[in-house]
Amino acid sequence: MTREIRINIGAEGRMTIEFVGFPGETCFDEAELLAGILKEMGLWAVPITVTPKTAEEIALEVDEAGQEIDEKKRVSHS
Amino acid sequence: MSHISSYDTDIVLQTAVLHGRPVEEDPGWEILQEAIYACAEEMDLEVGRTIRDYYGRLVYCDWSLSGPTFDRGVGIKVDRKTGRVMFLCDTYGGYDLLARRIRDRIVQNFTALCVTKALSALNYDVELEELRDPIEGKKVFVKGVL
Repeated sequence: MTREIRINIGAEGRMTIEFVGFPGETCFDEAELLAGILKEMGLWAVPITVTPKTAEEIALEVDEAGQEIDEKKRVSHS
Repeated sequence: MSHISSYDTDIVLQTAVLHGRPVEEDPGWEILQEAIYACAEEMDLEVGRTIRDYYGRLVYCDWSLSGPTFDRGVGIKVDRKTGRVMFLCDTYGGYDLLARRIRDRIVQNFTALCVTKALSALNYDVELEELRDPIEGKKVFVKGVL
């Protein structure tokens, strides 16, 4: 499944980061890795909220990813 | 499982300082400079090295941003011992809002540049999109796909 990190940066520099398609707890490892690289560059990202996705949201992501794979297969067969 | 998190951001150029090197050699120094020049272009300001206080006295900085309607300017100074980035402005007389907008734009640009570089370093394919909202100002969306 494709992994995505979607980041919104607001006018005051506040960030919202969404992790999509990460199995298990790996999204937290990736978040830590990303924060470490940002800190080396001088950007300190101080967490305000962390909201795990609901089972429904995750199921929807997996479903969307499945549809993408199906479409790719169809393209490669045609 | 995946999640959504929100973060407050601050700029501290500490990497070089912690290794005993001058702050000008910090990986964030050039990124900060890029963010400041981008802010100057977006807000029609000029980059310099000095700002003025209410009495017209000069204050030297690492960078400054000023313009014809804002000759006092906002200064950006990096503490050589801690790497902390400070924004300077004598806001007496109603310059608070403008000074705040300039500071916020620099932080936003710096954040966008850092995030883009960090995702590339992690081998993500990166897309960046900027939107201008008349009320909320500039918004930046960065997407990394692996």
